[in-house]
Amino acid sequence: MTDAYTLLTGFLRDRFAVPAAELTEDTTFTDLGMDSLDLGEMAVLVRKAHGLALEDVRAGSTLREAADRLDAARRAAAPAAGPGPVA
Amino acid sequence: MRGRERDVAVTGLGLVTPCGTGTAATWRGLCSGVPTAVADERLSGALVDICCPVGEFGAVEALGHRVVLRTDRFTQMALVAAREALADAALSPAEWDPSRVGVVIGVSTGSTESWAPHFASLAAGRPEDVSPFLLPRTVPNMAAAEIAIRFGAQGPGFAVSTACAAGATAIGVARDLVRSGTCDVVVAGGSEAPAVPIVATCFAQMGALSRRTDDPAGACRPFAAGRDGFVLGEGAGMLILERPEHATARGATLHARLTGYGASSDAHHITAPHPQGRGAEAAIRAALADAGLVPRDIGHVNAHGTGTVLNDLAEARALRRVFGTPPPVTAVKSIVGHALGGAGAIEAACTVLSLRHGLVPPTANHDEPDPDCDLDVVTAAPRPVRATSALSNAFGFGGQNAVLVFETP
Repeated sequence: MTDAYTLLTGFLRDRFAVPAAELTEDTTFTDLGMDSLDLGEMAVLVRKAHGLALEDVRAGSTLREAADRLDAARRAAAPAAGPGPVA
Repeated sequence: MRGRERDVAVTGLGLVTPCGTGTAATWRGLCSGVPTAVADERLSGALVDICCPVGEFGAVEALGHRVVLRTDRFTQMALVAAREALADAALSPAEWDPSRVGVVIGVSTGSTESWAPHFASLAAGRPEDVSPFLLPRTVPNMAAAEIAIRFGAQGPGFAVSTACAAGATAIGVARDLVRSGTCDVVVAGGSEAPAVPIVATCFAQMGALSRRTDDPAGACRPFAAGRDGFVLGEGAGMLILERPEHATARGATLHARLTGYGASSDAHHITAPHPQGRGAEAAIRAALADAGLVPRDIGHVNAHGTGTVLNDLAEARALRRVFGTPPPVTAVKSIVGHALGGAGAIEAACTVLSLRHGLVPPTANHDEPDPDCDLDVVTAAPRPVRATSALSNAFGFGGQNAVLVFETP
């Protein structure tokens, strides 16, 4: 379980009121009743809180896939002096 | 001439007001005669920082966290009030024909609360921080849309905007949907959450708000000498309007009948009412004619009564011309403030409650009547009034007027 996964599930629990029991690596956003607007909102929240661009995540993506995207964003951001660690 | 087949049944009421959540809490608060105005920290930095706030109204419990996240406060209050009204009407969405259920909601300024942080994002050069929920949160038709989504109402659904008359206009337009046979049931009302600094400051700059910020409870003084403006409120009012045959067939209880609706435009000024209240008078006369009533049939008037110098004088003049000696009048904005697009619907519900209870709630702060208004204003305590019909007035900026006539079942 990566830092990115922890960050993502934290947002889902705290900002989207998803019960922790529903969160697994294989859960898709569709499973959680989330649509493209919800994903857009989550991307805004992640960007504002951590300066990371959460891209190419779709409603059918699993949480593991989304966390991988977030890790990629973190690696892309790492050389810059800007945002710190995601967690 | 008019037959009762043109009447529309009122079978449910729902209210979220500064007196409390629900019809019972609101009626108790109105009858107490105690104003709800206070200094409100949400208005910090505004030219006037007092209003009548709606406290905790159970949005998360009633609607769920996800709906609260994506909606503006005006939509949340509309949803909570609609939920109460449907329960009060004992209407189950599982049992109705959804294609024949409509939703019409009045809104004035809409959701100013939601915009502010996003303008700040743009100003800071961060357009990517603007939420994808911002537009669906803020478009004025979203209260009507969220009600339709939640309860499965697939008939006509829309918002109406006539400024401070919008809640009453919505009920009138909804009445026409029922009377025309388009709908069996319409959820009709208004909602507004204007307690934000920009709205308070705008109204203050126009000279419309009371400046008695050191005495919030004494600030709104409808029809009284020394009145100096209205006090912002917030809240939602919802009525269930129903085809009488539909209501009878399912054994519903009728709170009242909505028998008259009159609308007019002053065609005079963007904010000031016609000084003689000509537009208001026309709307009152139209509503009476629509109901097939004459002025002496009306036993009570729930006035628009904002507490501004101009409104109250124009309204009093209109009432005196129509009625000669008008029946007992009350102005509940003295207690709950002015909820703009919500006000006409909140007051329509109060008018129905007055008919049901045979009781007119008092107008607060009417200790020194304005002799130029010369009305029989109910003060100090609720007054027993055995009326069979009552008028609810609502007048909006732009000179747009809506008047409703309710009668006992």
